[in-house]
Amino acid sequence: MTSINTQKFDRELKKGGAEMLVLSLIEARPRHGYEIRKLIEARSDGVLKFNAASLYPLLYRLEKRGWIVGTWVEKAGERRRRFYKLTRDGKKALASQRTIWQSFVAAINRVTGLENA
Amino acid sequence: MPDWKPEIRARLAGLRLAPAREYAIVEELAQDLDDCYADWIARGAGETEAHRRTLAELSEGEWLARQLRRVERQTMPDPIPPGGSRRNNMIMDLWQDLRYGARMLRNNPGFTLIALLTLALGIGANTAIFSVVDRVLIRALPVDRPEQLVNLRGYDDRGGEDTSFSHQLYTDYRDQNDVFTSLLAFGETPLNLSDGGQPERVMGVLVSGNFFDALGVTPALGRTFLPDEYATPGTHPVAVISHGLWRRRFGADPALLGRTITLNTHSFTLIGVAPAEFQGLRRGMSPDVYAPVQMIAQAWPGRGPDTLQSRGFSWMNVMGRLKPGVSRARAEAAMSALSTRIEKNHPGYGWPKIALGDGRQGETGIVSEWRTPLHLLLGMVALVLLIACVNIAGLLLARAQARGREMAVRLAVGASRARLMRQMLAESLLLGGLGGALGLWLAVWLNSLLARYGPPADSGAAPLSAASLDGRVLLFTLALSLLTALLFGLVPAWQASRPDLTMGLRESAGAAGIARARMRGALVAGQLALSLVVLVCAGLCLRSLEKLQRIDAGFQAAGVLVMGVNLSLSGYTSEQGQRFFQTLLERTAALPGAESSSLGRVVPLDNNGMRLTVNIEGYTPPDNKPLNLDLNLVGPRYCETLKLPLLAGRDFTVADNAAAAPVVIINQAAARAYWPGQNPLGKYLSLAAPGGGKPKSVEIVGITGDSRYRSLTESHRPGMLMPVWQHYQPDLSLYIRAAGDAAPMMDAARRVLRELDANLPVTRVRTLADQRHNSLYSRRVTALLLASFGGLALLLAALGVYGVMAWTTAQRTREIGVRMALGAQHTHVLALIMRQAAWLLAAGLALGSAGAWAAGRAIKGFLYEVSAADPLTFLVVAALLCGVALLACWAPARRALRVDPVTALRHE
Repeated sequence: MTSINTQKFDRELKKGGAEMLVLSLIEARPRHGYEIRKLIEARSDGVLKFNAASLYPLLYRLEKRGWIVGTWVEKAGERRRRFYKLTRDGKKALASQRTIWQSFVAAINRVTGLENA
Repeated sequence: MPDWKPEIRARLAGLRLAPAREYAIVEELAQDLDDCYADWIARGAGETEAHRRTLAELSEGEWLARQLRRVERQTMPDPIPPGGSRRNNMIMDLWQDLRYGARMLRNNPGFTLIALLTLALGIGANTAIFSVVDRVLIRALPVDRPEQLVNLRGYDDRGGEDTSFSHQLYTDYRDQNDVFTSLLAFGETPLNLSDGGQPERVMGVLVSGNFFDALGVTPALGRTFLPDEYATPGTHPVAVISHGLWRRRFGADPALLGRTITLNTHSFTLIGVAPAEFQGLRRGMSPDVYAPVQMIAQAWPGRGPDTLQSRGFSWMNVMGRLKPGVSRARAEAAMSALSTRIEKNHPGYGWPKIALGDGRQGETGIVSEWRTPLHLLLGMVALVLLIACVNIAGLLLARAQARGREMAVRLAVGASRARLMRQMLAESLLLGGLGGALGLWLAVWLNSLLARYGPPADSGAAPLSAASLDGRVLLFTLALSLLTALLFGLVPAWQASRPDLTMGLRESAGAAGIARARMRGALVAGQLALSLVVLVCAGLCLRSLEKLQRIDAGFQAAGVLVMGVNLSLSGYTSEQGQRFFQTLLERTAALPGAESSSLGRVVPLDNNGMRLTVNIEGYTPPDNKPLNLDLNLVGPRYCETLKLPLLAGRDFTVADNAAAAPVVIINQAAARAYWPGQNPLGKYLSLAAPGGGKPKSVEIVGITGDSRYRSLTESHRPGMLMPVWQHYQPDLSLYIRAAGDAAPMMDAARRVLRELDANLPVTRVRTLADQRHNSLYSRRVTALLLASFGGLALLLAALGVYGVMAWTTAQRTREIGVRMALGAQHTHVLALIMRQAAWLLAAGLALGSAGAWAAGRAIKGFLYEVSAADPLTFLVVAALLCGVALLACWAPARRALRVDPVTALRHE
């Protein structure tokens, strides 16, 4: 069982969640920024929402860290868009974040489940 | 669809992102907002509503910037400017301009290569010549405050003058003047140096004891002379050696001081080493040993200590350091008064007047033969550089055309013209700097070449000293590079920075193109003119060299070996010496391949000579002036050995010795001048005896043809030969006439000398033909360099012509196509191209001829029997220039002829 200290816990909650959302959304295939925004909103049934001013700095941060890479792609009949895809480092990071997240959720569940039981 | 970009940019403004990065972010965000807006509209929101909700995506105020600031690196410097004027940081801007320029040069390797090569050649030649001029003619002596130094020259009203003074006169001047802080004297004498190793002949200088102190020269090692080492004759055998000798012969041994060396046959103690940069006071000579003049009896065989008191033997140069506040004019007046007083007490010895020359450069008599040629060369390389500048300006103009669009865009987006010009000039500066660096490298190579092909060390020809490239030369090159860059960069920058905006944007040749074509045409015509000037000067010098080489010396130089044999340094009495020379003559004449051998005091064409005052019975010289005849003291069979034609009488024989009746052989000029219409044979000359004794009568026994004595260019003067056995000299030259080539006899002759006296240093072994050859050294080097520069000028001009013709022909491709489509013949098209070339050429030749005529007149003094307006030279050079220019047109013309009308019409 992975132990999580309090500070890390706190940080991951705030930031890691958002990063993980973005990383998982482009895991299967490259997507552009607006698409990522819409998908987060749609899949969370409007609970989670990113505005542009928050998403793009996040994307650039991930890109700078080398987890994702953005390329301008021009498709016939469409305007040029910047598509982001996961790098190998990004895949590793996503896997580790998922583990942390699952431990976190499990821990929460254990805590809250005890109360309910 | 609303434009989101201004909104986004406003939010990014504080970040100072690199322009490309900012552009990418704005682009991506704007797209997102477009999508977002489209979504809202699709969901049925009104435009205002959609706009408001979309903008909300950017959040309020600083949010976006704050988020981005954590991620994006900020770049402080301005983008490479297409001409913005926001900031006024000159250095920063210059740096940017240079970086931009470097990129432009990198992107045009062909242009860069040609421009740099051209510049390197131009600047390199200038640097090389300048470094020589600086070393030979300009540079001050490496001594303390050289501007205070003056050279003394005595003169009288009858045209007599001399820079040599007797030691006694020097001491009088030194002790009685009140205008100099110090007065020094020096005189050279050859020394035979041995220190156990191979004996070596070196140049020595006998100096006054205050020599180094007066000059403010501190030795690199040890000390210089002390006052008491200069007080009494012959008591202090000490010597200071040159830095060169110290390194060459003693391996820069720091423990050398106190060691004893043998000079001639006397021991001297080494007390110091002169600094490396100090080469003595006589330009063109670098002495190796300095000794106090009080040691003259030891250093100069045949001279006793009484030489120091003699007033009749003038052999020292005198230099003084003026007292502060004393002007040269005042010092001259004071010295003349002093000199007159001394001359009154010792009539006939000394000078009534003293002139003081600028002593900053020391004694420059030897190198004065280089003055005119070096100035000529300097002028010519400057012209070559100018031609190179024109070439590069032409290339830049062509490039300005190609960059018209770039310039137009920059001007259109608001760059100021000054800013564009600065940018263009920065590129020129970069080219100039790089070209200068390459040129410096080339100059080093050229200098080493000049040094390698210098005259043999003791040939008597003044060398173009192998100048090293030091700070002064570097500074010169730097200044020259900057000046050059301005010269070739200014006009193109001016032109390029004012393209017609709309024309430039449409990228087409037009009015601006025509102006540029005119400008380039004018430049090329100017270039042709300059080349003509350089080529004509080179041609005139070559012609004059050719004439000089064909001068009949009056004797046959080919096939004669000459070597200096000086017994005076080896302790022979005159009887022993005479016996030695007699044996030497017999042995060398008997060598296989030798026809005859003889001796002579003065070697002809060595810029050297003796004169003697004679009286001729029945001849009164005009104005009763003493009659001075050129004199040489020669051995038996002299005329035979040199093949000096005997017109009447006989050659000297072994029998013409001290016991026999004194005889003389005169030349034709003397016979004509003093015995016109008579036969001089059997007549007598009387010689003034040294010391004022009874005049000696000598009988004329032969008449030779006229021959050149001191130099080839000297006119024939009355002269005479006397037998050396009747006037013994220990320092003679041996001549051996070989049946064939003289050079192979060198070893045999040396062997004979070694057998006779193994310790005798043999000097200046050469053939008489070499002697003749070397006497034209400065002329030959000048002509050769000029010819090379002329060739360079021609090449550069050809490149210029080619460049402008290729360019204009390319500009006219469409026109040519149209003409050919309309049925023009090849000859018509050719005529079209050639007419333009002919105009350039005609203008260039006309302008150049005027310039060359003026240049020719300026160098008239340097020419020998060639008129400054020599028609042959002008014709040949003009023809050469025409030929090369037409050749340069050939390729562009052929290209024009191959134009396919259809392709040409599609051109542009």
